[in-house]
Amino acid sequence: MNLGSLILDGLKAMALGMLWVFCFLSIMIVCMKVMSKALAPFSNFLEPVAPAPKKKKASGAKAGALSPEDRVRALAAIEAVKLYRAGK
Amino acid sequence: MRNFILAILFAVLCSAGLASSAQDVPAQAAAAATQAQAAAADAAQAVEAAKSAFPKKLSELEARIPGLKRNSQMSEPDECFDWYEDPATGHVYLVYVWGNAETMAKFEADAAAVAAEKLLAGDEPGAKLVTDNAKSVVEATRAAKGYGLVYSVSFAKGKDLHDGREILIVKPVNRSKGKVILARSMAVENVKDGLLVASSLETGDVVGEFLPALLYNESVREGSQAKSLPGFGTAINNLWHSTGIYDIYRQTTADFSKTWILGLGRLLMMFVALVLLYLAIVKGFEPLLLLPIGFGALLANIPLAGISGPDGLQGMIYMVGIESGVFPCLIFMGVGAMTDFGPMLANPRTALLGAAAQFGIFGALLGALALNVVPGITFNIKDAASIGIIGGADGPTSIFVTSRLSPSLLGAIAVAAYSYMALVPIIQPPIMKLCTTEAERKIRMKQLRAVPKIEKICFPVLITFLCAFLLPDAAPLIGMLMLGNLMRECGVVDRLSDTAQNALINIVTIFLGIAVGSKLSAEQFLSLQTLGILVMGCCAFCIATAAGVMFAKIMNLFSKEKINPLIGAAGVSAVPMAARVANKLGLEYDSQNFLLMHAMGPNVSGVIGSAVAAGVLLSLCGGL
Repeated sequence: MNLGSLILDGLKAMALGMLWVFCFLSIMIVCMKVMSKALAPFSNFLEPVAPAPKKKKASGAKAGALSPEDRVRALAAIEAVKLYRAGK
Repeated sequence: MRNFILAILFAVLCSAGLASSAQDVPAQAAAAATQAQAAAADAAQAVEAAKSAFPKKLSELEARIPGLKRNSQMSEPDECFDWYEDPATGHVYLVYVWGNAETMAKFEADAAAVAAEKLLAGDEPGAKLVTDNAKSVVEATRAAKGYGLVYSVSFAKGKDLHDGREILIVKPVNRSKGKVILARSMAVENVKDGLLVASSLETGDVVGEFLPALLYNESVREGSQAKSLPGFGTAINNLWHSTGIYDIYRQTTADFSKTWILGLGRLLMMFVALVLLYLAIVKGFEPLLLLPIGFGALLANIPLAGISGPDGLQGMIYMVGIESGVFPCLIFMGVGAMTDFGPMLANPRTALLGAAAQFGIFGALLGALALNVVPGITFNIKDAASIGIIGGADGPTSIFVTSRLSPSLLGAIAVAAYSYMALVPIIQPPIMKLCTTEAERKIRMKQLRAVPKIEKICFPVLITFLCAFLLPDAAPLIGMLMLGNLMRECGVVDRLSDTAQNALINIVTIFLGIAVGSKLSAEQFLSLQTLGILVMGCCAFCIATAAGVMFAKIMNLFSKEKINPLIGAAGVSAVPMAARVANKLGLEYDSQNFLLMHAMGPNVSGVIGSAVAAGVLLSLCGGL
């Protein structure tokens, strides 16, 4: 087989191969989009349900309330940020 | 008195002497007769031995066996060899025939057909060239008496051989290697004297005598009487002949210009194996594969051990795992179990970048065919397809395709594929920079949506159906990839998924590396073709990278939502290395531009794309 006919065969393989790869992946993209739309109503189906957050028992003070020491620290931090932003 | 006694003694002695001399005449005659009888018996035995001795030439065989007939059904057809059967005993003889009148006439007829084709196409000089070339080849072959250099012998007297077994490889003058692959099981009755690796054959040489037989495995083997050890000198000589040093020396010096590959070449390949081990251990280039491949290459080149032969460990692993196509498919299952197709499902259009990058495969295919202009390099379309698939940057796919289309190139192609995959961070960035502007490299892409689990579960099933309907040739690879992915995503077979992505893939990787290493033997690897494969493999990676980037730029011309062209380079598979390279390069130009998840889309679609391209090549070239 001479070089010319070999190269011709190679070009044929390239044209067919690239065409087929693009066709396959294009059809795959279309199918993925169709599947995505078709399955949209069932998007929560099979999703793991997140466990409900456990409520902390309020002991003594209200839940989420800061202790007097933490309150002082938070106020100090806010004041420090204000001063930094003011450029002092 | 004393005189009397002496006289009596003298008389007795004289009478005894006379008697003995009288008896000597018939005794001598009898001895002479015995000697003559023994000589006659020896001569008859010698004639008988000469008759039963292993014939050296076909002409001798024909003279000895009346009604000797040709029987070509004993092995797969090969122009270099023919079989002759003794109808009386059923024994068959393997004869080396390259260079005889018949094979040369066939060669000339084939050349004449090519020349006629050229004449019809109006290429008169081309036709003349083919005819002249054929004439010179025939003359040279006849002058060399069809000289054939033995590359591999894997049969011995007294051995049973099963059908499908490759027993002999010979490199004849002026043509590609000839192989004897048995089509029937048979027992070896006799072997040509001195038939060793690096020995030579001439036209008409009888290589072996066989007896076709149905072989079965005996559960109990009968004991045989052990022979005593040879003398001390012979034993030492035998020991010396069984050393690797002697074998390398013998094979190198048999006919240096022709046999150095079988001797010195092994040492060179051991050095190549050490380089692969160095790259794996010190440089960290794909160590999971290059380490077993490198060590496998070391084992395959040990002289006399025959580890990579059909009876050796590597040969058997190769036959079971690679020739059957099992290992690449199992690796694909593991890859599927490790791959998240979410980024591609979230932005499906990036899958087209994975398609564009397959241009590297076909570009390298063309390049490999064009290499035929280089003297000493001959690639047919099957070889070129196997070389091109390196551009898919997917080791298992390369091995799968090459084992089916060009098994002899497997070692070089696997090494090239894995080496270049390891070199992705070095090969890709310059090409990516060359194909893009700084502004393009800074393009930020929209955040990907979260993909629901049900989509991820349905995707592998969908792709398997697509593959079944559109490209069944790629079904073994894509099917196993999708099975692995389904196990990962469904969440109900965690143990299987865990096995596929850890234990199983690790075990298969070890055996795959060892089996690929068996193809790195000197006689298969040390050739100009290997250099061509390495060059075209590199070209394939470069073309694939450039094609992916350029296609992303083309997509930007028609799309509102811009794509960063750097992620196009990730279309060359090499998961996740190529995606990491795209991400890293993006961060170099914009430290807040994280492209990793965007690049994973074309990266995983590249895996599917290369498997599809492999299916197309198998479909186009498999039947040739």
